[in-house]
Amino acid sequence: MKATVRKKSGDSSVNKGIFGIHHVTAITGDPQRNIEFYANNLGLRLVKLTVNQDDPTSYHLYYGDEAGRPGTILTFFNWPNIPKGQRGRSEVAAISFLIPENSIRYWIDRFKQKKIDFRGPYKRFEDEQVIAFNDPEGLELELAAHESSKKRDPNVWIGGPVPTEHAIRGFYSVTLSEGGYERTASVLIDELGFVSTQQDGSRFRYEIPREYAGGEEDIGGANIVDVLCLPYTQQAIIGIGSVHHVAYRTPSDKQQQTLRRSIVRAGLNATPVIDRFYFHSVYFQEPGGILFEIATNPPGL
Amino acid sequence: MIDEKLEELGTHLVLPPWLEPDRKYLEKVLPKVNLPFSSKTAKITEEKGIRE
Repeated sequence: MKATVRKKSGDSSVNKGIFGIHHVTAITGDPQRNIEFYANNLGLRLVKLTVNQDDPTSYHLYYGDEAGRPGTILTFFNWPNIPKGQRGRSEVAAISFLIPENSIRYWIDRFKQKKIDFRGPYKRFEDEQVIAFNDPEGLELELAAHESSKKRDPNVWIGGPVPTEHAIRGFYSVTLSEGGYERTASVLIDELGFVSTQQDGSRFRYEIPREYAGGEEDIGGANIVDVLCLPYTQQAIIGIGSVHHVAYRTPSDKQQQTLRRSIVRAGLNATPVIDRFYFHSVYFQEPGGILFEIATNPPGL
Repeated sequence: MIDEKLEELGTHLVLPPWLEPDRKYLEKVLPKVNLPFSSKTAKITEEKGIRE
């Protein structure tokens, strides 16, 4: 058993206008298999069938809760002609979905029935149980059973094939793999308003404190980023079955502008605001090389 | 909801307004996909003739 260090959230933490994850975008080579896996097996709702705005002859698929709310949206670019991704540092190492605490057994049975290989369940930190698995193209996924699921009932897709009591409730976290954690941590903390909360071996946890959930417009959650410090690992190659970027959510264009100015002042290159129709986006590379985005909650899907 | 009703989300190809002029071309070159079944959207997909 490795020692777990729990840190108190410092009083000095200041919310920067980020409430957690907005969406995660990954790469598929096979949209039909992708739809079957995420909609039929995991029970997410396909909430948008559209095209990649920068490459309109390819699909952009969006999955999420009933309404495709920020904090639940997993999207895929369909790029069939690029190589398969290779795992390593400087990439998103896992996307974690939130399930209720008593749903582990249901999901293990479901995975067995659907012939989906999985690892676990295993305990992570004090109060979460994790099942790890992969999508058909190798994307690293997890189900995290945690009591915070109680506050995420609005993030259930009631029309899906999984019974409501066990259904996925949006994202729990993302895990980044990095050669070192400090510079990524400083962006998460100083620019995005995360707080360092726990450490277990090479896993460093950062969270947006729950008291910052934004009221009616934002039910909170999807507020955890883990950084795995893996200095001796080869550089990842992004391809099919890799994450392309992680977007963090902000409630307004004004707050997005403030965040952008601060990110540029910190010496990072940020794009101008780009109109993605369903949200407005600013992209920048964090110091470890992973593409981050700041996306506005409005106008929505 | 900006371009689809809640009950219709994900049931047909949507394009941002600036790509609408290219719809015919895009529908031709994009691979055909069968959309997922859902109890709420079943009626809509039946009407549109999509599988399930």
